[in-house]
Amino acid sequence: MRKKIISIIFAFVFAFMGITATAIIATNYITDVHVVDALTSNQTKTVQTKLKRWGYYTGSVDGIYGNLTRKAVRYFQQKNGLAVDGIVGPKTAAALGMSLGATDNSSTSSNDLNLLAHCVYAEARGESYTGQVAVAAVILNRVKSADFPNTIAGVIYQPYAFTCVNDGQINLTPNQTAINAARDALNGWDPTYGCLYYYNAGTATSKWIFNKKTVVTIGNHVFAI
Amino acid sequence: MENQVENKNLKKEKSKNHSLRGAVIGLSIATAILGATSLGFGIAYGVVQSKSNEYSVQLESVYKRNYYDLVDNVNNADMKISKLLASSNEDYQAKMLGEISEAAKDMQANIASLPLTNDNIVMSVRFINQMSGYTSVLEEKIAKGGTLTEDDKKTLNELHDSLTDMKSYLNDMSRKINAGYSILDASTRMNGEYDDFSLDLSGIKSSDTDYPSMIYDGPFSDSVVNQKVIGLTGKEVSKEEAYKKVDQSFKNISNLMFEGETNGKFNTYNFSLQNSDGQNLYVQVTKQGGNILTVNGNVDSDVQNIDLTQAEKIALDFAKNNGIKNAGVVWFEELNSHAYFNITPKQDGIILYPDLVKVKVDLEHGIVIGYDAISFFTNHTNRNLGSANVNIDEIKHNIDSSFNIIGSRLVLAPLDYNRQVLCYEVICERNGATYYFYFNAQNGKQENILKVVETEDSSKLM
Repeated sequence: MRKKIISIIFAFVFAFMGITATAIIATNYITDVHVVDALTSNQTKTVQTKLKRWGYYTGSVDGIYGNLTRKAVRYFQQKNGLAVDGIVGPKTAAALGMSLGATDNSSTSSNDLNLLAHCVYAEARGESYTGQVAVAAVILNRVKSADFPNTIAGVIYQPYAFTCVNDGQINLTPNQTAINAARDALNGWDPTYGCLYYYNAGTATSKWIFNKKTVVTIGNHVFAI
Repeated sequence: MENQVENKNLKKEKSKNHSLRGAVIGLSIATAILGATSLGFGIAYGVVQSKSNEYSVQLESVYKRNYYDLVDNVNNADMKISKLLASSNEDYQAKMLGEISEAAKDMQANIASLPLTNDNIVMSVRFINQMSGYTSVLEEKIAKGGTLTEDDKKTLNELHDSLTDMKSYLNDMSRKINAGYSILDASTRMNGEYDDFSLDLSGIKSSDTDYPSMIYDGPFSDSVVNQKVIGLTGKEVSKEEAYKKVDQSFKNISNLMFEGETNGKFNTYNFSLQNSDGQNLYVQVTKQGGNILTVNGNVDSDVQNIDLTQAEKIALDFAKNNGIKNAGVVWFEELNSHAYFNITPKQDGIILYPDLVKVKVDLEHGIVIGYDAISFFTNHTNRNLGSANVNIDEIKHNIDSSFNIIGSRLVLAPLDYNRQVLCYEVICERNGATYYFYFNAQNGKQENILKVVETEDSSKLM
């Protein structure tokens, strides 16, 4: 009996050591990869995107640092007075306006996108994708309208404007669909063509809302101007 | 024997005492627990109560601060309009107009922070926002060498009257608030459909007068909000024709269904359909002309079966099949296995930015899942673009030498408030950041600068 317990303990200790060792090896391996291969696939995509926009690169944005990409980098380096080696080192990266570190300090935080996505998720997560874009669009239409506050935060946090702010659902973490919907709306998509109001036809109680001109009904929401 | 009896009695007495003492102890413990519990609850209740009082006081302070700021800003703007109307010096007029515009912006922010039901106060908010836009447009006009016309002065006078009304009402209410009126209490007291505070503050606009209408092209002006649609041509199509149009525009789809109509700036038939993975798309077709106006959908996927070059062709073909002729990609972005393309048509080789079409392609299935031709159908028409009077070399000469010029082209640029101007677009790069300069092609004046801003996961023009 005692032997059995001891062997179980040993097994656990070994298993634990094994896991730790694997973790250490894995960490080292990842660090090594970083050192050997300077650009991740995403960083390569950034390089390709920038060079394509500026007319240095004609290939596809695939994240693969192939010959075409190397050629474009050399062309860019040549045009910008950099050492022409076809490798994106710190100087070339700086000229391209990108940071090779894990965090890019020069990037702007997407406050507006986050806030909008939170509100969309809290207000309309049960609606179709278009229904979610439409809710985001109403918020943005309010920002542009003379009748409402002039910032996204101002519109969302206007007292009594959105029930999700009152009941705290605005603080739920949005899913990718809500984030995509918010982004589409920020890009200018507006299936409601300038609506400033929406209400749930089944549960709305204010009488004045029914006086607004209905533009379109999407899912459970009636959008009005 | 007697002793024994006595002993027995003693024992009896003792055990009687014992059980009594037990009962007393038990009772005391129970009382103590009960006491402690109720004390605990009492303290907890007290803490919650005092916390909640603390929060109420804090909230009331925020409301009061915004209220008093609002009153200050209204008083301020009222005084500055008086000074503006008294002055004949353009520099001073411009200064006052700028300050009135700022004060109005602040008023709007103050009102937005108060617990008001919006529809009660909406006319006043509109008045304030338009006052801010109108005065900033006048300021700009003077800065460009213009002067205030008689019409401008008339509108400013009317504006002054409205502001004076607003001021006297708010100052009266200030006195009430000074005397102990609580905004928080009033805002939670319902009086019919509205709360007391909303009702009280709605007196800010007297019911017998209307706010003056401010006619201008600028922020919050009616002309910007009510932009007319001029790009739609052709006869009205039936629902069935629209259905057929959608059916022909998408391959490998199912469950095409009619979803009602939109009756707004655009009048459309709306449809929903599913792609091969069962994901939904929402499509709007204009009644006039039967054009696909928007497509809206989302695919959550990491799978990528086509590359950007293939996606670009899909986007351009889709646009071409929907009447966007002679168009090219001016901007693209790839994100979460979606490719976004901005496409513009050209006229005589000139890029028409006001007619921008946006297309989103799903890189897994290779289909269009987002399409927005609203700007195109709002603005597109056969234009007389004129020609450039200034040479591009002169323009390039005017750009600071620290910029590396990447390219230049002639474009029709949409500038502030529905203005469309033939411009040279000069794309420059400095310290890794991309800038787009816009120079008026007729007089060489710089009209706008856009900078590409990298956000956490994408880049945008600002």
